[in-house]
Amino acid sequence: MTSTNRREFLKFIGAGVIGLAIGSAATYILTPRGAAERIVERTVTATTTISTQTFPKVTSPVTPGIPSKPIELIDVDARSGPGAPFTVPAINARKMAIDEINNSGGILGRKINYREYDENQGSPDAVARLVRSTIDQYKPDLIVGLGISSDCLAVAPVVDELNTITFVQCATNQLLQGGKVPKYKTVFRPIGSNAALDAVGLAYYVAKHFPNIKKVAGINQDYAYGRDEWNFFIAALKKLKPDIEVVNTWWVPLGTSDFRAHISQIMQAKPDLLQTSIFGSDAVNFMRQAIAADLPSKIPIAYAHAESLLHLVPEMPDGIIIQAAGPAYPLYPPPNIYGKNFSFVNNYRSRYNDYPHYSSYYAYDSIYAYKYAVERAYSILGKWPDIDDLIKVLEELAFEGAQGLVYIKKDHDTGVGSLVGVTKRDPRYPFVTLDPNSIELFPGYLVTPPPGVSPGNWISTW
Amino acid sequence: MLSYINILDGLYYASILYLLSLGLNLVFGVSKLLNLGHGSFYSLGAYITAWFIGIALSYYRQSQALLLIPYLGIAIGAIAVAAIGALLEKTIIRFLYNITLERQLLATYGILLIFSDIERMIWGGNILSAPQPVDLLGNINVGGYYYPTYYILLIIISFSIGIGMHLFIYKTDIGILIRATSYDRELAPGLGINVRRVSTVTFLLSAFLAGLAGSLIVPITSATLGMEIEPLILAFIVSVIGGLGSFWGSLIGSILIGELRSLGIALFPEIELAIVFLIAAIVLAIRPEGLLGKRYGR
Repeated sequence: MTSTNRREFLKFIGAGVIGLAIGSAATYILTPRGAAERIVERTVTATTTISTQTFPKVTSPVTPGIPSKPIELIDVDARSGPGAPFTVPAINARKMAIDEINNSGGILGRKINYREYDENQGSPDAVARLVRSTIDQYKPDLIVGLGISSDCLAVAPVVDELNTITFVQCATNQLLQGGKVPKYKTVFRPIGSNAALDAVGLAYYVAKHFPNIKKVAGINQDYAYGRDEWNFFIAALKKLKPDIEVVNTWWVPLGTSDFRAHISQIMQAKPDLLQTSIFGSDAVNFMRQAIAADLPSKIPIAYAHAESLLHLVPEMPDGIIIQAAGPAYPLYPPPNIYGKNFSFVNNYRSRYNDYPHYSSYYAYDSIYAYKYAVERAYSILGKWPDIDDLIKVLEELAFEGAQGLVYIKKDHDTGVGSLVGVTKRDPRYPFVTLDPNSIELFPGYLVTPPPGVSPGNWISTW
Repeated sequence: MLSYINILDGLYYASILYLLSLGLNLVFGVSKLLNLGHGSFYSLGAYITAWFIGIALSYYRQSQALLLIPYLGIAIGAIAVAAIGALLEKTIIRFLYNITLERQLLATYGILLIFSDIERMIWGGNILSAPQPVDLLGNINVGGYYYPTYYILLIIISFSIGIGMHLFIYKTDIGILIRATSYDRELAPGLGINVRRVSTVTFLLSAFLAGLAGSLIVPITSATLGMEIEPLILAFIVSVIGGLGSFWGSLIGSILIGELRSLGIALFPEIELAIVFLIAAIVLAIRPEGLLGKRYGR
């Protein structure tokens, strides 16, 4: 250790002060005003490729029983980190729904004030603290987002304690399924995406369309969702095809970017089918490296929760079994038959110059779920519903969303189907499509356990 | 199930770790700086290369340039990161050489976070991919298995650059100055060595190596926010096992870790990550200074 003389000491202090000054100035200059929170009010004219829809401007009427202040909506979703590519399409669709509602007069005349926060806070506890502070500060009517399972589990007790209705978008089964019904009074998941729904839909498809497979291998991420996905898939498949044999399973740490050694092992094991549910940016790397090694042409891949990969890996080959993470994607329900999907895709494209992902459907429909629930409660009560009234309505809400029929169950989860198909390139689209002749939608009652029953116990009773 | 393919997989992974740990060791050997910001050079190299390839191919999709652009992108990525490294050394890093180790780690971790936010500002949360080099080169048949040719090329380039760096350090005048500074940083100015300039050159080389690792990996692994964390941790383990500041330690350590990871995935897939840390712990328990820790540096 060298001793520091006075001159050197003063030099360090001086450098520190100058550094702080420069840093503060740079921060001030570079930070967009209101970066921490933004109240968004937009006017949207959605010009579609087919028709033009202009939302009429409606002045907010002052209706008896309706508060005059705007609805406070807090959006906590990943705007950075590995989850961002998967949640940005959800944020886009959510903003689209809010603008549509605001431009047509709001919900019973109340506009929606939208504030957005980044879910990527470093830890679930930090996200829970963020949510707590936003509730204290703004008393929001609704919180949406929360796509990371561990964040959901940390936030759910907080929003329940603070009596704030929250629509989550994470896929963990632990949050709502099994045990008390409902587990959390104010937490809802108005989306058709969880490990059981994904895995059981995929198992049904494999059992039905690949009757000759015997040896199955799996590669999944080494955390709750990946383990659940594999366990539910193999349990359901063994019920449907008892002669199945598991040859190997690989568990990759979250954040793994290199799968070369795993791919070598898979190719040497030569299973009849490879199941995977690798998610996030890891999924893009896994798929690309598998394609580079020519794996899909040698071993059929059954991929759960993989709709986003259709957009993110445009070189994906034909013949991969894809469970779409819910019941919808841009070409299903068929837009030429189901107008809600047609207009949703067109409006999204005209606004963002891109096709919606699976998460866009959930985000969009969940905003409308809130709107329909409030309007239904108002039609019964004649006043703006309090939280308990709104929960009662939400617990039996059914509506036609962009993804098809959506109904919310007693356990606050959603009864929708599980869409599975096989990839087939169609030059008309910039994303990989599912062969229309291969698509199957397994209805909600087939792929979702009854309220209060855990998926594992439910599958064991088949 | 084991085969020579596992050895090849291990070598491929080792080649990236080698470039990364070589840069870490170079700076530690000369300047006694443990640089966590090294990971940022890796991710910057990946981002710049993917970004360049994407833009260039959108303009020159139908030309002969198609074959050259990916490799030009790799070179540009590595050189751009080297320039960023030199600038960073001149402005911030030079103040960190004589502070305590824990302060170095805190300061360089800050640099890592700043660069992560800069990447987010420039490229957003998008995944940037540049799979063209892998696609263009196709696969070669290695004893019945199709192995991507680009992976073999990556192994050759990485180890060639590493050996080239070794020759540079041992066979050139600048290399002699760098080695002299690493042996005794206090005595070097007395021999007329401009230690500040040597430190800058060393840091530039270190950034170049990490940038090159990122540029070479982006055709295989897409550029994403946070992509640097896993390789950075493993590169540190390589450096610690091989011996901080040791050139040969980087080579031995990276091959050891690369092969162990590959064999771990083959034999013990449930604990693939634990095996690497377990071996590191055993090596440190037997030789705290690393396998070749006394050969070089302190």
